[in-house]
Amino acid sequence: MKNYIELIAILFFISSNINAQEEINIKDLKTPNSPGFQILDIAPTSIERPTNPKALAASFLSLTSNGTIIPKNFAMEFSPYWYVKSDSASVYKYLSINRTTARESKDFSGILNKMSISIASVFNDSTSGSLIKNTNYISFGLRTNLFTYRTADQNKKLQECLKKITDKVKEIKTNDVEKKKLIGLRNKYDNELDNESDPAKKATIESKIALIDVQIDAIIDASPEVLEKKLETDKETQKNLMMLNELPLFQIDGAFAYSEAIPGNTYENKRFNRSGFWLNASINTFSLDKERLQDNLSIMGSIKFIRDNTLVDNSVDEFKSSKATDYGFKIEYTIKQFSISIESLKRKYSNKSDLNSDRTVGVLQYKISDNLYFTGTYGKNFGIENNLISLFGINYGFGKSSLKTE
Amino acid sequence: MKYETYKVENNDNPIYITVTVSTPGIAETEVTKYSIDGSYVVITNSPNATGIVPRTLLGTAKELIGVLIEIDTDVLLDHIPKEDWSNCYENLQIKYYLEGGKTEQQLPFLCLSENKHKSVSGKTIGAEKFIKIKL
Repeated sequence: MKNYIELIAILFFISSNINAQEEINIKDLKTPNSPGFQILDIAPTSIERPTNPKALAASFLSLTSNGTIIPKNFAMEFSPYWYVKSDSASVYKYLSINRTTARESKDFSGILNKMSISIASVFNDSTSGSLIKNTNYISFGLRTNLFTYRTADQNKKLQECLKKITDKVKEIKTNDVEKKKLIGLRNKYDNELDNESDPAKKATIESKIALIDVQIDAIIDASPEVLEKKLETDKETQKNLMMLNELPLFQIDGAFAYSEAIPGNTYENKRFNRSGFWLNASINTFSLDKERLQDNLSIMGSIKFIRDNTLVDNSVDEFKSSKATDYGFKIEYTIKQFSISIESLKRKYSNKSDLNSDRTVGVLQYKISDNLYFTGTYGKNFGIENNLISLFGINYGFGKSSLKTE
Repeated sequence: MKYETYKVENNDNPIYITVTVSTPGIAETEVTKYSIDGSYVVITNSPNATGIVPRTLLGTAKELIGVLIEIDTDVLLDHIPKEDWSNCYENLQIKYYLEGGKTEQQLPFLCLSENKHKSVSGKTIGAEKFIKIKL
């Protein structure tokens, strides 16, 4: 397991450097609340509402590694779903909509489709929360959607939206008479060519076909752009597309993460740090005015089972394995580009009650544009020492850069 | 404009088409039949947003000789994060099955990269396949 983590860390770092040389869009740097972060208690939020994973989310604060193979602060999360050709992908599966009937949908199909893999590396030069000073932490995490539930009303509404959208596409295509006439004419000439034996007449037909081909190819090349423009100016279609963002009533996500600590960046000193398995459940219940405000209130609960390697003797750096349980809730309200949330978690150790602690944080997020987010997290983190968590930034927000103040 | 060829016998065998589409996008497929004289008729459209066309009769082998079949699929990615649109384009998978013609033909026909097109933003994908029915 340890060797796998190191291998993955190195591969991720190499691929991240390759990507960095190509193009990293600022939107890809939005802080991922991935299990890799969450197991280390450094994610802006510990309870995240289940979403469809993106192909790649990355957070690079400091790619410099100071001569070591492991970079100091980075995190990446990717979803294999986006890199594998599937035979059975559909919009219904992606949005967990029942395709065949208007009844409720209970969907367990997201386990592979919505799985994401994350890795993170963090260096702390001072003791903070449950992280010990001058130690590099590497973590690996998996997250997936276990269950999604939509009501019969939600299903019916979304099925109708999809039907109206595809009906509009069909209408636009049917009205594309020019293309169809050209293809018809081309087929007529093609058949005449097959039946023609006179080389001169053949050549004439071939030149006619070549001319038509140029026109047909130009129409086909431009057709996605033409369709997109027509749909963008159709208010009804835009409204129906917006409706597809409606969250399912109930979702459960599962996650696993494993982390190691490497004090002083010295390989020989590495030790197991913490592993955990957890479940996040989300109920998306309430909206003041879904159509106008695009708002939603989500109530989330979380339970996390942790195996922790905690410091028992500071003088000789003695660590002892122990078990702990985190449990708590989060309330989040989103309205258009703005979201505000508060989360509260308790951590109870099975045999070390003096280590029990809790985490209460408030999180604000504002999507300034497609490419720009503002994120702020403030509150009390787990642990006893230096447990103030205060993360503010644009697009990215963890680590020991100027974004973090203690 | 390139097309692939599906060979049939000069008989009354019914010829069917089935189109399978795999994409998380909203897909719509239209099948159009172009006759020898240049006239056309839309045979069918996909019944839902998967873009899949269930097994549909095109006609008998004899009457389809010289006919061109156009299978036009459009995929909308508005509900998918922008950064994943290029993956959707790369991974779009469409298979075209024809039945009733000569055996020992390479089937299904596949949607090749030359059959795919996208808008400037990458949010809308078009896939156009032409299959000519010949003796």
